[in-house]
Amino acid sequence: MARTRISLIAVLGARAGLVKGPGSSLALGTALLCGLACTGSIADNSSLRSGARGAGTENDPVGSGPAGGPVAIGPDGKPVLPPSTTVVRRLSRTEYNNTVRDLLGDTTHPAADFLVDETKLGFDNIAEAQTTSPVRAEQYMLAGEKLAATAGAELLAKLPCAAAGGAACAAQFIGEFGQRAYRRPLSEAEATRLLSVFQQGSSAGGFKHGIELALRLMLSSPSFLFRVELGQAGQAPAGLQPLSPWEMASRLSYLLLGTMPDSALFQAAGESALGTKAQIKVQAERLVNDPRAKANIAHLQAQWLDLGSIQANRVMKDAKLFPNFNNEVLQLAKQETETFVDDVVWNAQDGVKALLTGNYSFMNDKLATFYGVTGPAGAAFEKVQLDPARRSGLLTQVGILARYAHQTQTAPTLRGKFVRERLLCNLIPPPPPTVNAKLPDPTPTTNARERSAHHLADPSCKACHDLLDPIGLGFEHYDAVGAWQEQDGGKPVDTSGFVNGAEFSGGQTGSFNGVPELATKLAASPDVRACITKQWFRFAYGREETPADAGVLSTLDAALSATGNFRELLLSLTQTDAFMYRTPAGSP
Amino acid sequence: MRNCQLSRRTLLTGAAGSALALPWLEAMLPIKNARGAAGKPPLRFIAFVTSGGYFPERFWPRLPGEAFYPLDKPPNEGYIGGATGGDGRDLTKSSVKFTDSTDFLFAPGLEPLSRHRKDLLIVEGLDSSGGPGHDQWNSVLSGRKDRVAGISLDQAIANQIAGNTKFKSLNLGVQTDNGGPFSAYGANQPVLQENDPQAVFDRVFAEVAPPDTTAVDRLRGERKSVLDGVMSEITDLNQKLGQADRAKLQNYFDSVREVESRLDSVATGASCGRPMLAPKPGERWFESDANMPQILNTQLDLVAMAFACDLSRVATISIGNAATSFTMPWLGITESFHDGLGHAVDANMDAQNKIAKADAWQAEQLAGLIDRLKKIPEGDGTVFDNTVILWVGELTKGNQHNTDNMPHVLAGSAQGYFKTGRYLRLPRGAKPFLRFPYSFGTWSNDFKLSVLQSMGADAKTFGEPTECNGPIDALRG
Repeated sequence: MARTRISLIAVLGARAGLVKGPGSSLALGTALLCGLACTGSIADNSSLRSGARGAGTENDPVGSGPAGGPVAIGPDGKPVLPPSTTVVRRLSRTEYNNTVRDLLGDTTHPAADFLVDETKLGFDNIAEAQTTSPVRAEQYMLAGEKLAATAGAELLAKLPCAAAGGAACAAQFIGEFGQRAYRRPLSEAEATRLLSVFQQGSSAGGFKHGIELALRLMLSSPSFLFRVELGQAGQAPAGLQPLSPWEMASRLSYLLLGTMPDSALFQAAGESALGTKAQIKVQAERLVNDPRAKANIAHLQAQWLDLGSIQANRVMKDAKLFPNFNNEVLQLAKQETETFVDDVVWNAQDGVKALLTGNYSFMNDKLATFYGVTGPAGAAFEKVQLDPARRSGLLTQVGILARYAHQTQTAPTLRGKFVRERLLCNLIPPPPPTVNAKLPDPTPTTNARERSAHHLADPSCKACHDLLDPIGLGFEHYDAVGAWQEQDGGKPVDTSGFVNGAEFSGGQTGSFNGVPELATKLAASPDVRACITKQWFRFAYGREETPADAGVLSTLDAALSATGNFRELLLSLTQTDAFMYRTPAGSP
Repeated sequence: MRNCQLSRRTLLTGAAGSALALPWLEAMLPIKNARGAAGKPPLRFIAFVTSGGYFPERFWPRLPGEAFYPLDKPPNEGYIGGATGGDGRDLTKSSVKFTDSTDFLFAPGLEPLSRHRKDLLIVEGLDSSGGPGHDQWNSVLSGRKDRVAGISLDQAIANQIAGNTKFKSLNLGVQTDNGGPFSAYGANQPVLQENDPQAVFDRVFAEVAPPDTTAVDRLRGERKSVLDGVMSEITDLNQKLGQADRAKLQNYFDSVREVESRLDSVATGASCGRPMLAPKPGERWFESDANMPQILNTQLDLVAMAFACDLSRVATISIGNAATSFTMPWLGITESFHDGLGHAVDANMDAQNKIAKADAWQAEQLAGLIDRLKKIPEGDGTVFDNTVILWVGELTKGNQHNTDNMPHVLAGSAQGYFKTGRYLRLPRGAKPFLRFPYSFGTWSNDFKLSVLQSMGADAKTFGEPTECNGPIDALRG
C-alpha cells in the first residue's frame, strides 16, 4: 500500500536539524539508530514512498518530520492519536511590525531589534516553539513606550473630544481604539483597568499622558501580542469548537496578510458574518488580492525554501576558480529566485509545475551575462526565456545551485538534501560526530562522482547518503556557482541519478538523467505536492501537523494536486475544519 | 541611582578596529571601596563561547621538554590530545593520575592569554556528547544530548548568584545569526543572544545617570502600573483558557513579573557610570563581518560596566554559531569559517594556520575581558577576583564535528575556590569506534558541575545525568 510507511523516518525527523524534539528521551536511541534508520528506509523503498504525504494513517501515525516523540500505543495495539491542538500564538517579529504599521501607522519596524523568533520546521511562527523570556517582555515594554509616545499624538489629533479631555473622552478612546488593538471588543474589566491607568497618567502629566499610559498597557497586553482564542458556543464537529467572529477575522487576516484585520473584516466580525465557509471564502477572495498578501506569501516561500540563507558573505566561492562570481551576482540571483517564486505563486496556472519546470526566469543585464543567455539590456529585471534542455525552474537557478555547493566544488549531498528536505519533506539527520565531512579537494582528473564515491561505498555512510547523493549527482551539469559545465575532472559529466523511495506519477521509477528530467518527475509526483501542502499548512496554522490532521491534509492535498495552483491552495487553507474550528486545549 | 557616582560620563569604544583602551576605567578609578567591609563581594560568572571548532595541535600548552607542533607539519587527523592509556573517565576517583603543571609553556593559540597566566586553569581532555552535527552548539552550556533539553550553566548559576540585580543575565552575541540558542532557563525555554550593542546599551543603561531622576522615578511607577495591568489581564484570560494555552501566557506572565520585580533595582558601585557609545557606523552595523572586533569590544565593555554597576552578575558572550559562516577579514581570513575553514582543518595547511590565528585572536579578546575586570576595584581587590570566566567551544575539529577534547579554559578563581595558574592534562582512554555518545576522557559536565559549585550551589550533578560523574577535585588543587 502506497501510504504504508514505517516510522523510522519519523525518528529521523525528530533528530534532524530542522526539528527540535520536545524531550531528550529519544536522543540516545535515535543517534544509535541513525544509520539503521536510513538503512531501513532504503531496504524497503515503499517504506519511504509516502513519507512526504503521510501525516496520518493508521499505519503511519506520525508522518514525516514531526517531532512528537514516540507514539503511544493503545491497548488494542493501535496508536493513540492526540487531538490537534490550537495553542496561543505570539505575533512573530514580522507580524508585530505589520500590525503596528496597520494599527498605528508606524513604519519603523520596531521588532527588527527584538530577539529573533524561535523557529521550528524552518518557520518563525510555530506556536509550540515560541517562548517569551524576560528580555522579550522588556523589549515589548520599551517598544510600547516608544510607539505610545510617537503615535499617541496622532491618535489624539483624530479624536474630536481630545481637546476638552476628560475621563469620558478617554473611555471612548479606550473602547474604540482598544477594539482594534485587541482585535475584539474589550471586556468591562479590561476597559476599567485601562481607564484607571489613564487616570494615573492623566493626574501626573495631563490627558495626553494618560492616553499614552493606556496605550503602553495595550501594546504589552497579551491580547495584543498574542492571538488568544477562547472560542464560542455553537455547532461544530465532535471535539471541536467554533471561533468567535473576531477570532475568525484575525485568523483570516494573519493567514493571508500577516497582519491585523482591516476595517471590512472587523465590520464582518461585528455583524457575525464570518461563521460559514461561504462567508469566509468571500473575505478570503477579497484578501488574497490585497498587496500585503504578496509580502506575506513571499515570507512563507522564503522560509520554506530557506532563501534567507542565500546571503552575501555567507555563500562564497574560490575567487581563482570562479572569477565571475561575487556578492553582487549572488544578490541578483537571490532576487531572481524571489521574483520567480513570486511569479509562479500568483501568475502560473499550475504553480507547482512552473516552480520546478518553468523554462523561464527573471534577470537583468548583469545576471543574464553571468548565465550566458540573451537578456535585457538594463538593470531592471525582465522575464527571460531559457533553453529547456539546460534550465528548469527553481532547481537550476544560480542562487540555489551556489548555495548548495562548496567553495571550490559542487556538493551533491547538499543538493540532494535540498530536494529531499524541502520538496519531499523527508528530514535527514546530520552526520554523526567524528565523521570527516570534508570531500577530497578537486583535482584535474577527479570528478564529483569519484570524490564522493566513499559516501556510497562505506556501509556506515551509505545508509543516509543513498537518499541524497544519487539525487545531487544528477546536478553535475551545474558547477559550484551554477554555471553550465560539460566536463568535470577532464571527463564528460554523468548526470544519471535516482530518487529513492518517492512516489512518481504513473508508477515511474525514480531514475532520471539531468535536472530537467528530475524536475519533470518531481513536478508530477504526488509526494512533492503533498510536501508542499504540508509546508503551507505549517505556516498557515502555525503548528506542525498531527495524525489528527490527516483528513485536513488530504483535502488540501487533493486541491493542490488537481490544479497545482497556489492561490487555490491558499484559499483552500481557509476552508478546512482545522481553520474553521479550534480544539479546546485541555480543560480550563 | 542615589548610591551611584553619576557625575563622570564615560566613554565606550573607539574607532572601528582599534584596540580599546578603556578610557572610562582610567578616568574613573575610585578611591574607596564601594561595598564596605561587610561580607564578601558578590560572585560573577561569564561564559565566553566560540564556535566552529579550533586547532588543538597549536592550542594546548606543552610541558617543559615537549616539542611544539611544528608550523610546517602536514595536516594531521590523528590528534587526540591528553595523555593516552588508561581509562580516564572518572576523575572523581583520587587514584586517577593526571598531569598537573605550573611551568607549562603556552602554544600559539593561547599565547595572548599568557599575561594572565597565574589566573588561568587550562584543562585539556574534556569531552562532551551533544547531538550530532551542529546540534552540539545548543548543548554547549546545557550539557544535554538533545539540544536545549535542560537548564544551561549560566542560568543555573544566575539562579544562585543573581540576587536582585536588575538583569538576571546578559546574553550577548556577535554575529550569532539565528543559529539557535545555547542558553536556557530550562527545558525548551531558550534564552536568545542579543547581537546589537546599541540595543543592549539602551536596555541596560537607560536608568544609569539619567539627566532627570524625577522622570526616572515617575517612569518606574508607571511601568509598575502597566506591568501590573498586563499581569491582571493574563490572570483573567488564563481562567478561561485550556492547559496548553495557559502555559504560553503563564510564560509571559512570569517574564513580566521578573521584569517588574527588578524595576526597583538600581546601579551601585564606585566604578559605576553611564557609558557613552560612540556613534554607530551605520544601520545594522552589527551584522557586518568587518565590524566584528568592534562589536565584540563593545559587548565586552557593556558586560564589564554592567558588572561594575552590579546591574548583572552573569553573562554569556558568544561569537558566531553552530554553522558559523562568517569571515574574519581583519585577520586576512576571507573564507567562510564553517565551510571554508572548519571543514578543511585537517585537509590543508592554510586552513589550519588560519584557524590557529582565529584561536589566538579569540584568546586575545578573552585576555582583554580579563583586563577590563581587573581594572574595576572591588573590596580589597578587583571584580576579577570575584569572577569566573569559562571559555568553551562546541566543537573540536570542524571537519569531524567531534566533541572529544573540547576547548576549556577557565579564568579567575572565584574568590580562591579554584587553584589557578595551572595546566591540567587529563588522562584519556583509547578512542572508541563508532560509539555514541562517547567519552574517552572526562565529561565536560563534571567540569561544569565544579564551576556551578564554585558559585555556591549545592548541586550534585549537571546536564545529562549519565554524563556527569561528579565535580573534578583536581581543579581545586
